[in-house]
Amino acid sequence: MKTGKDWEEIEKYLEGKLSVNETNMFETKLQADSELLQLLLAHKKMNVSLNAYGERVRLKQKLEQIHQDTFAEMPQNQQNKLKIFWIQHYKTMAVAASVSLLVAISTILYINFQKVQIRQSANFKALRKDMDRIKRSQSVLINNLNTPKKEEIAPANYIGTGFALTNDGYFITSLHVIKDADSVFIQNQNAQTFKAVTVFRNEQSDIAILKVVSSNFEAYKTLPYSFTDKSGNIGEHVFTLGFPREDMVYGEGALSAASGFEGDTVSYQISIPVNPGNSGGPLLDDKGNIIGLISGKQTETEGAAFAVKSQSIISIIQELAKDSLEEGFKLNKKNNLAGLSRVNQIKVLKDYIVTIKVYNQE
Amino acid sequence: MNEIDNSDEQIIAALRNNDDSVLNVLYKLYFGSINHFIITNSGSEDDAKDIFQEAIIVFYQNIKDQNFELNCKIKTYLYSVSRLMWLKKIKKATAIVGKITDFEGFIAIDDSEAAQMEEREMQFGKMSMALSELGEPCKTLIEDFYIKQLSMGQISEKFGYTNADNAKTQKYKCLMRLKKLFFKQEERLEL
Repeated sequence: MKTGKDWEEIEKYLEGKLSVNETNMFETKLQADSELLQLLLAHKKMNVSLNAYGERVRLKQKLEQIHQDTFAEMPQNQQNKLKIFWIQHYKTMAVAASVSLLVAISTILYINFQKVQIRQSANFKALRKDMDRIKRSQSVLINNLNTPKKEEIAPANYIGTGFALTNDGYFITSLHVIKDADSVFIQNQNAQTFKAVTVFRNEQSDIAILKVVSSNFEAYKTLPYSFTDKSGNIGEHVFTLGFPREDMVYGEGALSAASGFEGDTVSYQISIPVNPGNSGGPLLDDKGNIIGLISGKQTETEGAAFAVKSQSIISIIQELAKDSLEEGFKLNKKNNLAGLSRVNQIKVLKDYIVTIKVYNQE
Repeated sequence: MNEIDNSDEQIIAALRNNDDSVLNVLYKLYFGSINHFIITNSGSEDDAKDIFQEAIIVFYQNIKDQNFELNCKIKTYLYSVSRLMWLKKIKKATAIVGKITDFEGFIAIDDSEAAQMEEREMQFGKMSMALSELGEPCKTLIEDFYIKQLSMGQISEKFGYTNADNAKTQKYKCLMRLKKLFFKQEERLEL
């Protein structure tokens, strides 16, 4: 067992504190004494380790102090946590935020869309005439008189207006007039009624084309009006003829806007007083050109009615010709009304404008 | 050294001259980028502090070794060492390491250097284990001598020994015990 004295020597030797003489003596002793050598090596290792340990701890303490000095003065722990949270999770949060934004926007859009739809049906009044009330009052009348006529033609469920598209039995009207029809009849100024079938319908522009199928229908020689492919001008005088009641009613006004209900570009806004039954009637300019087809009015605004542009009608008919194997419709290009006074224009026109009677099972 | 003198050569020269005040400069210059790196890669500010300080220690010890040659900027070196240590740490904590987001270039720390880093760390770990098992008053005495670098005279005064020789004897006894504990640690770790 080595003593403290040996150890002291070892320490001095390692620290280099022994004199040259002593060092030599110690080294000779080391060669002879393997136990001493072991002790020396172990101690050396311990010393190195301890010194390294000490140095490291000191360094660490210094760095800790620097850290304290540099950062501790800012009492921003809370803020830092938030910052760290943000840095670590901003990607996730960005995704979550985008998703919720998307959901919010699409919900808003959806709700608005629904609202628009509701408003549209509330504000836009299609002008076909519900004949139910009239029918009932009429039947009451009949009951009262107690003289039922066998040949009584049942009144139509709805009526609207239509006008000749070609001379050979094609008529045009609003789609909403004939939409739920089981059967459609057209009635001319002479109270002649002809059965008609729907040959074409376009939801977007709200137009329908009917073809008379009754054999007793006589084709017109020619049509007196033409369909214009030019845009109507705002302020232009326009008029219409239609059947808001049994007799044909004339209405006039001006073309007030180049777009229809809620910016609908296939229509005009016009300032003609129109009523249920006017739908499907022609809109004509001063010269007697067809510039549109009456489609409805805005309920909350006075004097705002709408008409589908003749341009839209023409383009739809052209598309139709392309799509079908049939030849399509040849629209009249010649206008015979231009020179006539309004009264005379109407006298000519009235034969080409018809009541559309719609029957359905309710 | 009051003004910030931050060229790499000057910092290294100062460290080799035992001018530890440049540590302050290093800290202020580079802690931010390491902090950002660690926090972005799912660490905390405390993790960043630990890793950065370890990296500084590695750098410091290497610089003290005259044979060590720095092949890149100090900034890059500290970043690379921190990056390596952080990767090791999260690998230990979680089996799966996600994508590491880097903010600057880094160099590969070669294996021998990494092994040396690890060895130093292990030695340090063993020594602190041994010390923690040592018990008082030996622990304080050893720490006073090797960490606080008090002289034997100061130590004997502090502990109330009559003279420095008594303190030396006490230190010798303590070292003997520490040695046993230390080598026991070594065996334990090598198992």
